[in-house]
Amino acid sequence: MRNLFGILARIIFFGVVAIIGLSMTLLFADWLYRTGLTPAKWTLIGVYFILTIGLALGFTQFFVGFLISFFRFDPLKITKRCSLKDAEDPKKINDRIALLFPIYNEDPMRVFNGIEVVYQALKEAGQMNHFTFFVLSDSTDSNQWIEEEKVWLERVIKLEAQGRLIYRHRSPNINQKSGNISDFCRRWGAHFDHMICFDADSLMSAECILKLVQLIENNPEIGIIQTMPGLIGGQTLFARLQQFVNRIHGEITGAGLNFWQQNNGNYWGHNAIIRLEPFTKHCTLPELPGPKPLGGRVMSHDFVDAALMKKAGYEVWLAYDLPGTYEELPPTFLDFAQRDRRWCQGNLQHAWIAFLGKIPFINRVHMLNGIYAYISGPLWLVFLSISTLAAYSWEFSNLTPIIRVPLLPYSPQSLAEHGLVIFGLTITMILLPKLLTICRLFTNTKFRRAFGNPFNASLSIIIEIFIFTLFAPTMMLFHSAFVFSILTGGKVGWAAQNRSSHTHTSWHAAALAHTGQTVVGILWAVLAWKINPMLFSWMIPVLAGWIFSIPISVFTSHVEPAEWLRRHGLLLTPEEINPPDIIRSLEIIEEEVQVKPQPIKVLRNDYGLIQALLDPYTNALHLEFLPRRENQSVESKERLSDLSQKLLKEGAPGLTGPEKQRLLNDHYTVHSLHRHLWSISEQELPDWWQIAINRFSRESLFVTELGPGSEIGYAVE
Amino acid sequence: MESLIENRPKSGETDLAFRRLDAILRAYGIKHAVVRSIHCQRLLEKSIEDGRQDSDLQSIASKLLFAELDHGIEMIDRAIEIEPDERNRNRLLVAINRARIADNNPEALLGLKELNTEEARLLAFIYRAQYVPELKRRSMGAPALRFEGINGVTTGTTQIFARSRILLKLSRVLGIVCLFLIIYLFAR
Repeated sequence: MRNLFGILARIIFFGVVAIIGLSMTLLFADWLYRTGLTPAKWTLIGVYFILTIGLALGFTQFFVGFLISFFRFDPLKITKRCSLKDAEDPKKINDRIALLFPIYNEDPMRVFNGIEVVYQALKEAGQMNHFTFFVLSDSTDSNQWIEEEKVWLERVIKLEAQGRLIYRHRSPNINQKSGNISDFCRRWGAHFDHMICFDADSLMSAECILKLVQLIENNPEIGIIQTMPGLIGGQTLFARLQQFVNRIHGEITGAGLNFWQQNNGNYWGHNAIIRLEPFTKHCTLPELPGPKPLGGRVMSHDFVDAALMKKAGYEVWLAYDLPGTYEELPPTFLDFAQRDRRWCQGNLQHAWIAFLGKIPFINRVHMLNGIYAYISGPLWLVFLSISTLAAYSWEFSNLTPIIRVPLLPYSPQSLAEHGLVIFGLTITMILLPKLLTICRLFTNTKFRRAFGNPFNASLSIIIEIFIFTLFAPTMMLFHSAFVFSILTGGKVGWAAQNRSSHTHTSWHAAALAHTGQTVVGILWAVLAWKINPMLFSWMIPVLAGWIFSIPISVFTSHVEPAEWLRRHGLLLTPEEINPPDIIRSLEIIEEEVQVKPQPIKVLRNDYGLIQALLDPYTNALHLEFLPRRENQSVESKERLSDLSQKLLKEGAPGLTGPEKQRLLNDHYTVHSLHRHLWSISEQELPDWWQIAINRFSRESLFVTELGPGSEIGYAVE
Repeated sequence: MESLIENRPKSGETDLAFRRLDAILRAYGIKHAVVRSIHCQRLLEKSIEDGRQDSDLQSIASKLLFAELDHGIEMIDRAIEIEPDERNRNRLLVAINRARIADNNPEALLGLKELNTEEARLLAFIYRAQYVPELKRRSMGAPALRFEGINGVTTGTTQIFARSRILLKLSRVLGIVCLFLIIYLFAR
């Protein structure tokens, strides 16, 4: 019965998508036909078809999700298979579960704070016996690496988590995150039945984890259950906007997504539980043909993992209604765009598998949808370019149009009205979902209460529509540049990046990233005005986004406007109005943890290395993690010896990052350098080491210099 | 003391060596300044007596101190009665730090005194409780890098796109050609 309903649901869903997409395209084609079809217009029809199918899919998905949320009836959701009450029974869990935290140059404090919160929650739930925490570090920055080891030990002692909280550093970090996970599977996989993957900034409550375990334990046909993480911790205006959008529209989107994907869901790389045995057996990532960046190793492994799991006969589900699962988000637009650059490459790589792989149909749809998310940018750009050029070409031709009668019976007779209908329908598909959410706010009591005041929440939706309308054209140009660059094997990049909510995007960084877009905006505005002021006025939302991209990027990276909105009850999420225990615990821990000040400038890049080599206990701890290599080649020993000499003669700034990593990865070198540095006469050491030893001995490594005198006589930079 | 005062005071080497010993002792966790000073003085006198006139006092003193530390750690190792195959100097050092041995009984760390029973018991407990991750491979069999899932893709597509490298290199040119094509379409 469930299967029949599932098949019917898919037929209805994709039928509606096809009907909307085709009828919109036909209406558009009919409109173009009325003034004569040219090759350019045929191109427009083709582009419009692809874009409309994507829009129709998103719209239908949201509409279905809204209906499910409105009527609170979803026989297709995975959480229906077992009630939450059962999960509270400790006897129900039998399996062994590994909680994985793959990290790469992340802030160790934030990572371990999150781990501590999850650990405590599971301990309080009385379920710790079934869980083991693994911090799988791929960090290449020596400061982060050493800090991770120290914080690991500190937390193991604090939590009395010997044997339950395990740290492993990997060098070299072959195949990035997927290599990190597969390394875990090879080394420890056999000890566990399932693994729950976390991101460095994700968080899951004990209830959520236990429910996931129970679901997968009681349903042996399930391979992966993905949760829908809510965004938390946004401070800047950009982050808070995203966070609000995720929380207010997220559940409806999830319900809609689950309606058509059902047991053929996707894996998003974190906040998901995976059955280890089939994962190890069937989810080996393929090497893609052709040269990089599209060929080679799969960058976005998660979609491929899900496809391979499903292909192996296991179900993959999205538990969209499971609360207590969270993640954080990039603080600024530039950080977001940089992350998108990476994801863009990963998704475009999927083209190989989506078009030529022998995978289930729905997984193909997932991959095509992922590709569409990035291809739609350049397609919209092509659409706008051809439309503007067509207008330009027509405006200066001095010809009088001969308007034909429409081919379709339901098309309006007037050409202008015909155009307005197409525009209106397109805008409806974009904006109606927002109206549906407002409708839900006023009709669903639980939902309304979660967001506090429904009027404030509605106003917040209008604010997010306005700001994201300005962001969209800039993102379109970013995506176009990313796609073009990836297809031509090049790289897109810009200089400075902000990582923390406390440091906003500088005008310089914004100018570096957005100058091209501003220039495009100004030139396009001049052209549009020259063609026809009416065209200019229609294009204002797009042009404004480009022309003001620099100030918008800087403004939204600030915390102050977000704070102002928060004070006025705007952009508030349920987690801020009524914080769940897990988030409250994280906040308490973050307040308790003493934040160390930044080390002095001259030692800032190498304070990890200094501690590993000078502090005997940090040195011993670090040595504990290093394998003893008995059979090193003569070349390798010579190379390490040369690097050691270089380190002693020039100080750490004389070495590159990989050189430092190589030294810190060798047991013998780390041990002998510790002895040597303390035994060598001070006069034989360079200024840098003298400052380092001096600062270390006075325990003032982490004291910011008070004036220029603190660095007299030494200039590393 | 005499040897200290008489030893090359103009060069300041005694001061440097004293400072170095003090820094090492501080790094090992001996927080009490007077205690450090006593041991620095003792070690320095011994270094001067042992060393030659032309040798580097800092280096001699540091090596002497490290010899004492090694001896001390060895004594501690014996005192906590750990099985020989479980012995691990680095793990013991981490445990010593956690048990605050350097601060509470610095002489034991320097091999000048035995650990008392209470300290030895605490240290043994911490040492044994420390978990060292098992890094050896125990697996259900590391999967070989095969194209299990999409076998047909790689073999088929490698052939089809054998020239993709050239195509990729030509894509910039193709982009410009496309641009000209669009302009041509509108200009004609």
